[in-house]
Amino acid sequence: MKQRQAPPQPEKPDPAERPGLAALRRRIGLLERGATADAGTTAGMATLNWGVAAIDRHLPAGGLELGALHEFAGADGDLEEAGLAAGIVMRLLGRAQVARPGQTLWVATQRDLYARALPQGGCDPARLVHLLTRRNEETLWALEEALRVPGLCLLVGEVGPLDLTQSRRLQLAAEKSGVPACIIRRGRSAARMRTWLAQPIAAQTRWRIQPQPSAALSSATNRQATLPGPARWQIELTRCRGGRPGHWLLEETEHGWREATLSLPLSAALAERPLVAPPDAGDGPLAGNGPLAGNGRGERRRTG
Amino acid sequence: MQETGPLQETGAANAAEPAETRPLLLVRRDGNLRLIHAADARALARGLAPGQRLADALACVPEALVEAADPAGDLAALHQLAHWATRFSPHAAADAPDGILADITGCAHLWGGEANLLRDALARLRRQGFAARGAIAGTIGAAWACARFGGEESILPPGSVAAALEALPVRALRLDDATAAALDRLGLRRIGALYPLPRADIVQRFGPALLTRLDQALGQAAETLSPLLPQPDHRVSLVFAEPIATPEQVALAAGNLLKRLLADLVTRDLGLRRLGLVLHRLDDTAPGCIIGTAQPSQDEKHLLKLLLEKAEALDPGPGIERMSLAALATQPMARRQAEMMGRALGEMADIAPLIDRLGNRFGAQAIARPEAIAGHLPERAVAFVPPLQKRAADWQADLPPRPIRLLSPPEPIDAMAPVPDDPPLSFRWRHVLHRVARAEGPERLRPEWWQAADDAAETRDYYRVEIEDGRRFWLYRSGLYQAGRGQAGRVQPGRQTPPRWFLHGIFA
Repeated sequence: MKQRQAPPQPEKPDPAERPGLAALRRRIGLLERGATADAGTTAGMATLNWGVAAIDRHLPAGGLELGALHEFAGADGDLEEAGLAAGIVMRLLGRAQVARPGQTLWVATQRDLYARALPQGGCDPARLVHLLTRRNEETLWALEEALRVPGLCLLVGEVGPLDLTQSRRLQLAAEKSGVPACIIRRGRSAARMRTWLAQPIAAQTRWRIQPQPSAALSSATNRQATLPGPARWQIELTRCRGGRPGHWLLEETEHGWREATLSLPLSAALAERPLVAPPDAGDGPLAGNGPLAGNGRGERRRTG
Repeated sequence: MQETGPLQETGAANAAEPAETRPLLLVRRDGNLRLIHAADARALARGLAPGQRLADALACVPEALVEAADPAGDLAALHQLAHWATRFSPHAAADAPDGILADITGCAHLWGGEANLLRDALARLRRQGFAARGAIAGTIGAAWACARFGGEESILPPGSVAAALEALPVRALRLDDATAAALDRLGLRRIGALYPLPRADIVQRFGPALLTRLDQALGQAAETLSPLLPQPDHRVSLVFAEPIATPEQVALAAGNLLKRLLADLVTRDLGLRRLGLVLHRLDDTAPGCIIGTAQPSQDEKHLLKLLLEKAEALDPGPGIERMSLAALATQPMARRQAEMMGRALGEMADIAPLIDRLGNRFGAQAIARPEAIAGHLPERAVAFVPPLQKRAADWQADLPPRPIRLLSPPEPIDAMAPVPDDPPLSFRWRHVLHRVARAEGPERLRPEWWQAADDAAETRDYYRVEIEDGRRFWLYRSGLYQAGRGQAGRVQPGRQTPPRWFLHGIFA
């Protein structure tokens, strides 16, 4: 599914590469949308960074824009609990909590977020408030209300169906307050979820998280070879307003994540790992070599 | 205890002076008889009296104007008037059928003395068309007696009650007709005549009621005034000249009331925790709503928003004649303290209005903050507590990895595990078979020893497994392997049941 050996297209200069132009674009965009130009910057940072250079450089704003809607969905087998998407959002939340003051509101129709995982993902649970709603519509209502309050660090919502109008309301509210909102898509049926994800929504970025087998910890003993290594995810940007799709392979580290395909000598154990790649592992070494490399192969499906 | 006195005459019919000079009679039915219920001053002057038959009265005064009496309406009007009387004292009550009692302790100075207060109250009543009489006395009984049987505006200074009542008729003691008639037969016509009688004889002859009334009037027995409504800490209300019904009008009135209530609370440094709004409808029903806040608030805009969200659901019916807003619970404002206590609480304070709105919409339970508790089992290691509750415990950072999703309850799975202590090779969860690629474990978690040995109380061995596509799950085996079990968890005949496997969490 991830074999994409398309011939590289002629590279055009990437406007996002030139910081002056990118900043200008951003300001114009904000002015066009009627938001105060410094709605985001007042909080101390302009974007919510992934902390992975390749991804941040790829995004037009240099990271996830504040005051915008970002959608995260898991793989097919992970739709009902949306654990993968929640995990990624949790780690982004950890980064947001460092950079931004304020509380985080997590809105969901189920209370199955396990708070013991939060400190391990770099989050401070004391700065998280969980709201349990009964229906999807209530979640959307609560999200919109919460987005009107400027004091939040990050807003997370676990949402089932979401149409263009509803998402636009959220996006507009986010633009006004400058609060970033992460939407985790959650639904029981894979088929229905595919329809939902194919529908256009007014999000700034849309992400799809696929699981990836971890590299085993190489060690002398046999027994340890079967231990799971650091978790890996295939992060796919399926749609990005003002940018291009892309995909990257991330690997969990002690303090967050790193791009797994770069052969940084992070630790001996990792560097010497046997390449345990999935059968269709062509993707691994190729993915995420920066925005320019991503250009040619960027998946153009589901661009909403 | 001091008190303003009753109205001489009842209700609605007296409210307007008849344009013509004919005497006015109100008539009630008693079986086939039509009796005079009330008569105005002119009719009284002509010798008519309540209780007389209408036929007799009309024979004497044929030009009298006759109207049907409306006791229920009178009572309602009296209650309305009692509410009106709260302008003189918050402690006012209707004293059916024809009086209003008010405890004016501590209120008189606002009018420049008791005399001025009484004069003002009576003048206002007369301007409304009531024939009013009043008295101020140290006891309810004395005020009642003086207002009805004393001068028009009598004020009894402290200590003069016994002397003032001496000359009044015994009916001034709020006696029933039978007792009054019995006293009359014995020639005891003045209250003063009762003073020298032995108390035991009074009780024996007339029952305890007379003595109680006498003691109450003289201030020797306690009597309390029960106010119109239970008195909350602070309450404001608004009576409308014209009934209102539209949501805009309700919103306007509620805003008005809230402003008044807050003005009072702000001076006392109190913040609202619970606020009750009652709409008194024309049809004598009073729908209401209550809102709560997570922390004491004086924020008018915020409170009004909360209030109106709830008030929208209230049905104004035929119209609202009166609205009242009560501070059901208040708390000293902690704003200054919050600033001193630093960031953590201050941050929460920023979104307190949001928490209130969401809490009022979804219920207080719905909005919560995760809190670490020292439970051994995963599901008992976290609790959701009210968002503004103080932090109790720290989050342990040195736990083995924990899943981001915890299934509740854990879902049973069919697992294939080769050796007693090994993780499963494969498992079936929600009808899908997953092959385990890598696994880590076991991590043995036992319930606390003091927990009852219920179903959830078995020792669990947790495994962190990664399946072939890279997803990770948290599985556990409930109970220990025991001798006599076959490999792969197979049961040998006659032995115990195989260990049960569960999927408890999903890792990110």
